[in-house]
Amino acid sequence: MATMQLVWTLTGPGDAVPARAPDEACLVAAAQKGDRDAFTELVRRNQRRVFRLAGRFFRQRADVEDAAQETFLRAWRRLDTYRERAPFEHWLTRLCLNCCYALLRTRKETVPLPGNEPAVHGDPDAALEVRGLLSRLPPADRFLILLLEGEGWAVEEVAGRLGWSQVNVRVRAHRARKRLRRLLEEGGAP
Amino acid sequence: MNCAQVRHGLMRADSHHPMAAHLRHCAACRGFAERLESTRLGLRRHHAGIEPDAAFAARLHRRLANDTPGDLGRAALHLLPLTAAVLLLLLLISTQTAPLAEPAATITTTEEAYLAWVLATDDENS
Repeated sequence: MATMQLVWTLTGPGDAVPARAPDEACLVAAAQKGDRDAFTELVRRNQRRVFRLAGRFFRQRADVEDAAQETFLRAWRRLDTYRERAPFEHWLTRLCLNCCYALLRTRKETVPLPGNEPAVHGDPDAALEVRGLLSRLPPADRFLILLLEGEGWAVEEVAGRLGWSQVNVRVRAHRARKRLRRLLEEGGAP
Repeated sequence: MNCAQVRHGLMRADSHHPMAAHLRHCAACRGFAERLESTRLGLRRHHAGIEPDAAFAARLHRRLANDTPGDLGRAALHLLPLTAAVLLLLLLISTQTAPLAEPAATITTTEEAYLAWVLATDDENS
């Protein structure tokens, strides 16, 4: 691994892949043998993707970072379960979604006061109202609604990425949409 | 077609659902459709937009220093004899105290049947 360590730096920018970067399969193989530097390079290459996904469910930097850290720690601990049948990023996405789901279920969603929102895209009032709506949904429903409507994934896609059965996702999606519909009918939406 | 059926179709974003005629003359469902569309747009934009800082990988690298890959699997392997002993004990207790189970043939519920039941009962109530 000496050659690889020459081209990896821990303080490099974002997800930039250095010149003469080893391919992902080499990094995964090295990390599976306990090479932390190889794993850190995998982290650097995938961190933006993981932050982006976690940012769908959490608004505060601390929560997003917690989800990302937990995802990578789980990946490190379970590297021996990764098989190369699927790309590493798919495996990581599944871990990240499961971490976010677990964290969502333990943390209460709160609606911040106007002005305290860390990042607002589009109309701030509409964003706040959507947050209000989400906060009234149970965590499991919120999780699925954000995947289906936020990420725009189909039921089959959600099932594949989470490793859940399609029937399970369909039943949960049906219930989540029904609760959302009830909230919209009560007028709790933009 | 009633309001409940139209709203069910709207929630599923079912483009084949014949709801246009109903929406033309039902102001309540039109309002609902507009609220839903606005919510969908908000949900697509609902994102913290947070990027990892430059030191994230380094911080994680420090945390990894106390960890080795596959720790969990190895820990589980060490606990295997204890787990087997507990399971054996539980099995012994259950065979001595529990009545005979119902024949497995009476259990007919499959995932698909469950889905059909959920969808049918929910639609009846909606």
